Amino acid sequence: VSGDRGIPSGPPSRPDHVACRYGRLLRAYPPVWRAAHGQALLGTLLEVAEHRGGGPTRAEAVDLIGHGMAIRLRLLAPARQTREWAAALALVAGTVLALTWFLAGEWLPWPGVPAGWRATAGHLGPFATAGPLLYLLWPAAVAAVAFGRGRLGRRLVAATVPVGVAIVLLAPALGVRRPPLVDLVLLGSLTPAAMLAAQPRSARRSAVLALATLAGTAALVWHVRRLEADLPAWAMTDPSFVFYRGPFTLALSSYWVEVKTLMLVAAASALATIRGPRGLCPGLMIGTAGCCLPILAALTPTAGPLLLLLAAPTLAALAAWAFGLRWRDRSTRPLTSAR
Amino acid sequence: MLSAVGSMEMRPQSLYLLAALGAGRMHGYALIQAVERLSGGDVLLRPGSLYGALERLQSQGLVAVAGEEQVAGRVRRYFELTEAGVVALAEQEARVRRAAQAARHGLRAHGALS
Repeated sequence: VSGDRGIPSGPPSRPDHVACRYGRLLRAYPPVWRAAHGQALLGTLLEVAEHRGGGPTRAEAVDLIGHGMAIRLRLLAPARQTREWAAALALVAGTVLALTWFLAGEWLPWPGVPAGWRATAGHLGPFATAGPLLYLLWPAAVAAVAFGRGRLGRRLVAATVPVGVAIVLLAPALGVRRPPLVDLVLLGSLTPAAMLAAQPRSARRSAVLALATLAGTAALVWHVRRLEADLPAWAMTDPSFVFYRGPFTLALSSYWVEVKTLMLVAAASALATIRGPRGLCPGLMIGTAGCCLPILAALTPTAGPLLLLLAAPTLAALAAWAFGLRWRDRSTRPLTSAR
Repeated sequence: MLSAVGSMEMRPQSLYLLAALGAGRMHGYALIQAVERLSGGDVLLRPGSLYGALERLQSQGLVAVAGEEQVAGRVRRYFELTEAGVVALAEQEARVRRAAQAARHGLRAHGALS
């Protein structure tokens, strides 16, 4: 190959330890990037060092480490299309859960509910706990996104985090009940992905977003109501069982319903991964990992918080891994595709 | 009609990289030297930044890899302008020329330029 532009070629005059020192600095880059571009970058570094004299400079080290870290951060960022699908998925799933808990756990606006339950200590107006303050932000976010107000939608989703934290910290002090922690953490795990939601590119997609939310909520509420009908009579006379599905009994059953819903979401993601745009893997991973939370909590209710602490990093790791897989497909292409 | 990239303001290092590659395909070290020379020493690229900029330009379709060779046991990777890169460089040249004309006009009106 010709094309040496004024660069003298010949045996390297720098000792091997210079190459070793640059090699150590190149560890700032992810292995997949080093495999594709490491040798070319090292060659350039050695040529610069040879003509300048000496080894790596501090400025070079800062440059390499900075660039390497930037590449590593980019490894975690999904492609735009993936991000949009995962965000829409998380937004719909979060809203379906929030609306279901609002209707079937907090409000119960249907006949047959014992009149005494609303007088339970710690309720917030007509609602069982302070949960609606958080839950109603989710449908508001979906409405904003569906009507083309993506930024407002993202802000509303983001607001669920401080509101959720405030409910956990302040509700007991104010004498108001709070929703179960499992529910709050499950919703919180969907928040990061949902915060990336952008407004749909067409009116048809907006309609699909709204319809998916409404249909999912209707199906889930119907299932929960069916479970309530199967409860023994003694349970219906005890406000603690009606209020917010009861501590563990109804919660166990309805968690399984939620698991089924999330499984359906995960299955839809898997189908879309095959049929639709590539990279819906993160949605699948988030949906599947999200299912693990209520399963773990339901199996060992007393160890719920501990399991959630363990499950949350797992969820984050799985999502990061899935995003990384997607990015790797793209990252190995650019500088290697010789024309 | 302006291309998507040409309609945007380009970073100086990207502009000088495209300008350097206008002379033909080059490897990393030659590009660092060419950019320094063309910019009169204003733009000093380090290898990490060079590869970052090249990666960005390649993802925009303006630059492509044009082969590799082994020289003294080291890998040299060559880069070249794509057709889209030539178009983008021409558009950036027109943009810079307009800016320079505007600056000249202002200086002349101020009496600082004859």
